[in-house]
Amino acid sequence: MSRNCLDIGTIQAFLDGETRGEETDAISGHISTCDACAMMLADAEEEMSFVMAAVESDVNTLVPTQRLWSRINDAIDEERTKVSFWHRVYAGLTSLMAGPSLATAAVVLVLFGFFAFIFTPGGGLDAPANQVVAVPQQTAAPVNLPSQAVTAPQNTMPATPDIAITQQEAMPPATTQPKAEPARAIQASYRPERAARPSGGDFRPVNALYVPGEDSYLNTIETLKASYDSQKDRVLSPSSRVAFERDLAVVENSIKKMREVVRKNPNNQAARQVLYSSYQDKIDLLNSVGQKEELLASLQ
Amino acid sequence: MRFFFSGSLLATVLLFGAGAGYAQTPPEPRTPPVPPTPRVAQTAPSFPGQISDTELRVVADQNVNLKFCISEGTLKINGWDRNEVRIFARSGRKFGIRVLERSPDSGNASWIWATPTAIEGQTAANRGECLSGETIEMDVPHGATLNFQGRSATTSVDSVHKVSLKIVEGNISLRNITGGISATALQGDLIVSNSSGNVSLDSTTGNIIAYGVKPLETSDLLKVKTNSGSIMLQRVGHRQIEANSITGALQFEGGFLAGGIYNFKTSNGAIRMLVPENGNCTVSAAYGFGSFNAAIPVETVTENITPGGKNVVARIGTGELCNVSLTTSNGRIQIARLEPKN
Repeated sequence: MSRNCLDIGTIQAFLDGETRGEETDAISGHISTCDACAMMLADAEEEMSFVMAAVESDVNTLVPTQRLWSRINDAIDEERTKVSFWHRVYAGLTSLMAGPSLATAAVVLVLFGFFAFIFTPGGGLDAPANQVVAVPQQTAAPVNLPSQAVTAPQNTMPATPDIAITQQEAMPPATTQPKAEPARAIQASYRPERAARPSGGDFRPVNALYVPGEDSYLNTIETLKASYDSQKDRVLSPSSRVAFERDLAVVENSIKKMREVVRKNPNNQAARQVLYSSYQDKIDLLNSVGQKEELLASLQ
Repeated sequence: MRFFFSGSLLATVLLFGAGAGYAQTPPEPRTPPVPPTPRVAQTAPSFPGQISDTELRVVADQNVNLKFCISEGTLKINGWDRNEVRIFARSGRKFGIRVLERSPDSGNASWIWATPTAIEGQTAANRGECLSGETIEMDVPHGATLNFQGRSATTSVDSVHKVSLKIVEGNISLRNITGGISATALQGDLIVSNSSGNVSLDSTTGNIIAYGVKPLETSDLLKVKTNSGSIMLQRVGHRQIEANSITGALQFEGGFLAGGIYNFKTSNGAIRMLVPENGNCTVSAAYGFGSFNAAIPVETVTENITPGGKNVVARIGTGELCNVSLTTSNGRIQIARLEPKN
């Protein structure tokens, strides 16, 4: 690891989309030439994926409307601007206070932290509601969402972590799956899509990357797949199995392609329809093995 | 010297004879090849004297219900005008006809079960319940309802009221079924013609062809599904049609009816609709990486073309009378003109 290597905080900020355009470009350029940092990025990404998988069911439970996302994204941008300002102030103060004793700096920092704590909610958070409502509306939003989830953030637009918390509270009761660390989960749930991350920092919350109801398809498929794995040797002849595997591969290929499309553009209704259709095909396909075994058993 | 030549000649003859004898020595005896195990259906253990030609008849009601199971053979079922059920098995297992229920009015059999008879040495467990034979022929009243399953059977049914069957392996041909069909062929083609009622056709690896099929009631559904086969629907009168293939193509040929709801779906095949251009239907086509092409005049209502997901809603005529949904992931959707036949 060279001296110029990025620290984990920077990498995490990069993953979370908290870096600005120039900074993002610099980090990207460094990572592309530094194996050690690339490894660190991969590790952080893997860790984040793990957390994402743990909270996937909660995250996928609801997808807010596009209107809500617009508000949330605007609030995040606004908050990020504010955070950058504080960052600058903080950097200036620390450079100024480099000379004085540690105690003085600590006191200043504590006071700064205190004032930041006091004033942060009053800044962007207490912005007038009409300022938030003035966000340009977008059309064709997914609407599988209770009304409370839509109306919840209208009065106040919380800071980034609170947004996620508010959103989670607005969701229906969580499933029985164990939850991972909430703080990490909140952080992970706002991980931007790296491939589509523009330099301006306009990213889409990860919730929008999943299709509503996709997890129920996946759960069903998982169950049927386990059943298929236990049945295939005794139910399918070699030729049937070849045909079956071929059909399965075709369907899985369709699912893979359509998932990519839907993740890039969640509002693509046609792609969603085809994706659902492909999921249903896979379910039917796996189910046909069980039906065959049932028929064979009835002929015993 | 003479002895020398004689001895040499004798030695040569002996050596030649020994060599020849060695050459003709049979090779080391190998384990005789085990004759292949005769293919016998699991449900039909073979017993000496069991295979024969058998023919049985029973007087039956016009609306008789017949149930049976077939392990292997060619099955031919025909409807006839007599109130009688005749079952003939050529080179097959002996069987019997059990009357499970009789009509209270006529006293004729109204529910029949054809099942193998037990012979000496068989128990109920190894007797099985499935008929088998080289050919099994059945003649049943036109109003008969058939309910049967089979393991490996080529099946044809003609001119009966209702059929419900599941065959693991073998082609199925159904004709002139008036009261509805539920047919499953896991490995085999399914052909249905000139039939009516609620029709459900399901195949795993086979093709499905249905032509001249119509509903008995308006709400009757035609449901066709195959995994890797193709589907062809021709002159279909049902107002509700669901056709689904995963890797096969799908073709519909005929007119759309008022109030019709048509759903055609394939994952990796093409969808081709041959329809008259004077229809009135709204077509919604959703496709991922395929294409949409209409060779008849259509009015595009909405068109959303994005990479990987396209959605086209178009009207044929006024588009008021029916709805057609076409979905494919990788296939091509084509609407072509059905030429009127003279």
